[in-house]
Parts: sequence; C-alpha cells; structure tokens
Amino acid sequence: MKTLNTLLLIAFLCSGTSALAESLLDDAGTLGGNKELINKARAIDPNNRVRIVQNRLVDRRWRLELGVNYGAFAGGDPYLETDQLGGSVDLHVNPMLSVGFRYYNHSNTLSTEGQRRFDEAQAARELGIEGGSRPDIDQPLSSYMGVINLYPTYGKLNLFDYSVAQFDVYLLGGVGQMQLESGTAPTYTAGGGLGLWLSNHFTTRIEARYQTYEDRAFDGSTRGLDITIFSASLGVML
Amino acid sequence: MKTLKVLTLALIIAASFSSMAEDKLAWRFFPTKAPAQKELLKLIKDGNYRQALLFWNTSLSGESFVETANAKALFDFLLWKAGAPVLASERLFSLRSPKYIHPTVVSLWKVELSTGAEAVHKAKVNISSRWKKVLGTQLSRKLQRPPVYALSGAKTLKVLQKELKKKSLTADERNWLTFQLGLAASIQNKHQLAYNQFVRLLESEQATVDKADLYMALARLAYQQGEYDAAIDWYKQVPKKSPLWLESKEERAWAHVRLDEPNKAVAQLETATSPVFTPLSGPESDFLDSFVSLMICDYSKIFKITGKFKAKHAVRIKGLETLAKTRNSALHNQFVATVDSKPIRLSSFSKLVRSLPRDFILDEFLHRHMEHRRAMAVEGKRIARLNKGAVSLASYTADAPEDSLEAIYGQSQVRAQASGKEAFDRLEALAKSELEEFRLMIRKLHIVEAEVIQRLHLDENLKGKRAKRENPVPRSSDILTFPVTKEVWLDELDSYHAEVKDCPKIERASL
Repeated sequence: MKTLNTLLLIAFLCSGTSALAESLLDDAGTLGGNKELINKARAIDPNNRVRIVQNRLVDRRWRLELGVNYGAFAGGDPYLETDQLGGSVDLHVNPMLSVGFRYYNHSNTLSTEGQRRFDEAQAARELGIEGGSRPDIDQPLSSYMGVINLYPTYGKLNLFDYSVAQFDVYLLGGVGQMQLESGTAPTYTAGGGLGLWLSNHFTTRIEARYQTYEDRAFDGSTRGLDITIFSASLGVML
Repeated sequence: MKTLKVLTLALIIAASFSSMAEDKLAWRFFPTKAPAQKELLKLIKDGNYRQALLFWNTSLSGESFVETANAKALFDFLLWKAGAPVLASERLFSLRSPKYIHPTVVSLWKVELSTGAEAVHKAKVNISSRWKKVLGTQLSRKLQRPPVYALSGAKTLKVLQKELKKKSLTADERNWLTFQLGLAASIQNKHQLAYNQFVRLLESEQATVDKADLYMALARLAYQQGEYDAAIDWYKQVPKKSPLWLESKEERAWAHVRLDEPNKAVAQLETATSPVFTPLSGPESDFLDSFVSLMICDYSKIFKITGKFKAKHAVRIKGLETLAKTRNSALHNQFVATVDSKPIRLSSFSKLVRSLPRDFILDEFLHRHMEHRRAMAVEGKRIARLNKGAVSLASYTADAPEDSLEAIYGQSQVRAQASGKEAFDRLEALAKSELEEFRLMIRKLHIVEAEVIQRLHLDENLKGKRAKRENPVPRSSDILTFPVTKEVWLDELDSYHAEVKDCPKIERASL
C-alpha cells in the first residue's frame, strides 16, 4: 500500500512538473489563432475613434506680436532688384484671427539688365550719340499696410527630437500705401504663410504674398506692377 | 615688562606641553615601542589614512594589540577613510565588545558616522544595544535603516502605532512609520486610519515619502472603497516623471470601467499599451484593453490585442522563465555586471529591462541587495587599487592575515557573492509571481476570445444600431486634434480621447 501511494505521488508530481515545464509562450501562442473569426471580426467596423487632443502650447488670445522681417521681391520692375527690411505689429484676437500693421523699408539695386542699359546709355551720351534710351524706373522706397491674418489650419513640428513646436498656416490680405520716388501709391496684398510658435514668447514666420501697385513713368503715365514677396520674420509675443 | 614677557613665554610653553601631554594620553593605548609603530601613529594623526592602512600589518606584526577592540575599530576606521565605508561599518558593528574601544577611537568614528549614515544604510548591519550605549541613542537611530514591515501582519498595526508614540523619533522616522501604518491599514481595510496617515503626510512639508507614492496610495484606498471618482482624481495627480505613472494609467482605466465609462478607459489604455512602453507594461493592460473592447463589441480590436500578445511579451516571458528556473544564465551575468558597474537606477538596466520583472527597481528588498552588492564590488576595486604595486591581490588565499588587504578584498568578494545570491533569490520570487500573473491574464484572454466567438456566432453581422457614447471630441480654437498613427510622438502620450459606440441593440417591434 505504501509503495502504491508512493508511486501514485510520483506519477502526480511528474504530471504536474511536465505541465509546468511547458513554456508560457506556448500558451500565449494559442491566442488570436482563428483566422476565419479574425476576418469576420474585421469585417464589422465598430467605427470607434481615438484622437489625440491637445491644448495649444501658446495662448494666442489678445496677445501682441512684434516682429522684424526680411524679404525679397520677385517680379515687378525688371530693371530693379529690391529687398525689404521691416517691422510688424500683430494683435492676435484669437487663435484663428489677427490684425496687424506692417512697415517695410525697401532697398533697390539695378538688375543685370538694368545696369547694362544704364551703362549703354551712359556710353552713348559720352560718345555724343543722340537718341539713346535708359530704363524708366520708379524705385519703391518704403511701404506700410494694414493686414488681416486668418489661421485656418494647424500642425506641429518635431524640432530635431529636442522639442515639439506648433504652427499655423495662415492667409493674409491687406491694403496700404507704397512710397515711390515719384510719390505715393496705394498698394494691395494677399498671400499666405506659416507661423511657427517656438515658445510662449518667440515666434517665427515664413511668408509668400502677392502685392500690386502702380508706379509712374517719366511721362506721367502709370504702370501696374505685380510683385511676389518672400519673407521671413522673427517675433516676440507679449 | 621683562617679567611679563617671561611669564607669557612660560605660559605658552606650559600650554604646548599640556596639549602634548593630552595628546599622548589620548593615544596611550597605541603601541609605540618600535619606530615603525611610531611612524604608523604619526600617519594616523596626520590624516594619511591610506598610507597607514598599507603599513598597518608590517608595523604591528606580532603585536597582541591587533587582537584588541581598539585595534580592530581603528583599522576599520582606516578602511572607512580609504574608501570602503560599507565594508568598514559591517566589520565595526560586528565587534562584540564596543565598550572596550578607547574614547579617542570612538570620537573618530562618531565624526564619520554622523555624516556617513548613507554608507551604513547600505551595509548589512544591526546596531546592537551595546553599540547604542557607545554611540548614543540618537546617532544609533540615524544609522539604523528604516525597517520594512510585513504590512498584512495582524500585529503590524499595533506595533507601528506603538512606535509612533515614541517622542524620540526623528522627523524622517516618523514620516516613514506613518506611511507604513497607512499602507498596513489600507491592506487590513482600516480605511479611515489609512486615509488619515496619508493625508497627514501630504499636508506636511515632508520629503521622506515621495508624493507620487501618497497619491497612488490614496487612489487605491478610494478604489478599494468603491469611490471611483475620488480614485480618478488622485490618479490624475501622479506626475509623469514618477515610476508609478504608467501603473496609475492602468488603474485609472479600471476605475473608468467600474464607472461604465469605456470611452475614458480606452483613452487611458491607449497610453498604457503604447508601443513606447512595451518594456515597462504588463499583461494586465492588454487584458483590460480586451475587456473594454468586449464591453463595446469592438471584436477586431480584441483579436488584434490577442494576436500581438505573444510577440509583445515574448522577451519578458523568456527572461522571467530564465530567472525562475536557472541561476547561471547570460541574463544573470548581465544583471550582476550592470549592478557592479552602474548606479542602481532604471536607466542603467535599459538593455535588460524587457527581460526582468516589471517594477523590479521599485522592490525595496531587491534594491537593498543590489546596493550592497554594488558597494562590495566598488569597495573591493578600491582596495585592489590601494595595494597596486605593493602586494598582488591575485595572491589572496584564505590563509591571508585577517587584517591584510588581501583578506579585506577577499571579504568584499565573499559578501558581494552573498548579496548577489540574495538578489537572485529575490529576482526568482518576483519572476515566479509575474509568471503567475501572465498565466492568469492569458487564461482571462482565452475567456474573452471565447466570449467573442460565441457572440459572433449568435449575431454574425452584428445587426442592430450602435448608440454613440456621450463624450465627443471637444471642439475649440484652443484645442488641437490629430489622428492616431503608428508613429508615436512623446508629447502625445496621455493626450488621447476616445469616441466609442455601444454594442448594437436590435430594436424589435412589439405589440
């Protein structure tokens, strides 16, 4: 009897240890194995949604943004290369809307073609040749305008794995005055850009806008000029 | 004037003779017959402790002094100053007759121990009542590491309450005991008693117990009493930098389940089961995720969870099985090598964390074994460096003189081995416990799958309308919403919001 009990105990222990000897991975491997059911389940879409919901990192309600910007003209007078340095003030009413004022100081140099034409005219004059022509340019000196910015879409940027910055894509439209060599002329602008909110107080913008104005030729006639301006700015949010 | 000068000179000479006499008296227990012994004493008095340690044996060879408590305590002092404080304190407190140690040596030790309690805490020492008489109660209490109590023990509450009545407790001791009392009371369902302890600690400006530990304790206490809203409020306060944060997300999800808020549970679990946290997350998060998906009849998600379960946890299960069943594996060797060479924190184990028990770094017992092991390894190396160029430590044998550097090095290695074994014992216990958890969760996942199979067979197309749960994604110009993609941005963790639908209900016409 004692021997039988001992044998039974050994048999029981062996069955227990052999079950324990199986890796748990084998047990885990039996999960999710029925392909037919998986396909059936996949066909039923519960239409649940998970979204990432975050607050804006930078509050833009009733905040003033002051900026300095630098830009270059593309188009306009073919005999001039113009760039601009300016300042801006924007009042953010809410994250979707801001109103602002821009001032630009333009600096002009003759383009290659413009320089060539002037040099040609100068050479002709020195040689006493009558009837030569030189380009009729009316340099933009400065401009100022009021703008409205709308920020319809947003996104965020991974800054070299160091931090995350949110940005808004914006549309802008504005009207102002252009100071030319010949006098002043109204100017209109429309465009868009990307405003990157680096921190609660530092901002940067990249912008491309169309601007139009009329300049004045020597004979008093006006000419409509269409320019595209690409600019970048750094700002401080108060 | 001349008389005054002579008197002043005489006073100065008398004072210096007096201090010399005092000094001689203070060190009269030290043998100075031989020039080498005088030199040794000079080294000690001048603070050249490392040199003194190197010359100890040769200077005092054959002297009966070395067998005295004075000599042993003084030698251990030199060892402490030479950069082996943990080993030195273990040797010191193993001396059975501290009352025979000369006051000069005792005062040297008191200065070191009053600022070196951290080293003594890492040592495996028990400060006996004989030592308490020599060092004083306050210093002894400072040196004794706060004990960890068996919180579910029937007598623990009374023991802790009795300890807390002592007026001589330091602030740290009181805070620690209060925390232990709170935990014991929670486990033993004395809710009000537990709550009072935790709130008392929270409201005081104490720094002994981390606030995250208190928030978790209060959250669990509230959960235990069925106050799930209060529990959720406490869970929200656990800061992200706390090692308990991830666990708080999972437990908060459970609270939302209890409140029948599967959408909020889903949002919490999106963080808890994020691939970023795979090395740190356990099987219960996956089970809970599948359970919540079952609540809302999201069957495809259940199969997604169960299908990925094995791949997700394979490395950990293999690691746990290795720790539970063997001793000399590559994992054990890597673990010990990390303990010996790097500070004891989670980041040091980054390469092994997927194979080790979850939250092993929070286990107080394992932590103490690891600390001791590391101290012995580091101090052993320091002793070896001390002796560099003098006697080769590779020549250590069990016959080396007791106070030789070879013997000290040998002792550090033996103690390191012992702590290593204790650490492995604890790892084995933790691994077995976690394997049991895996076993249980796998069984529960099988049950969930069985339930899904039954429901799919009953209602293959899941006819019937799904009512949308209340909790729409908030819309505001101050809120940004992004879709969840496979790429996880760290700033997005813990910013999830779920809109889930109820299980479909077939509306039948009735007469």
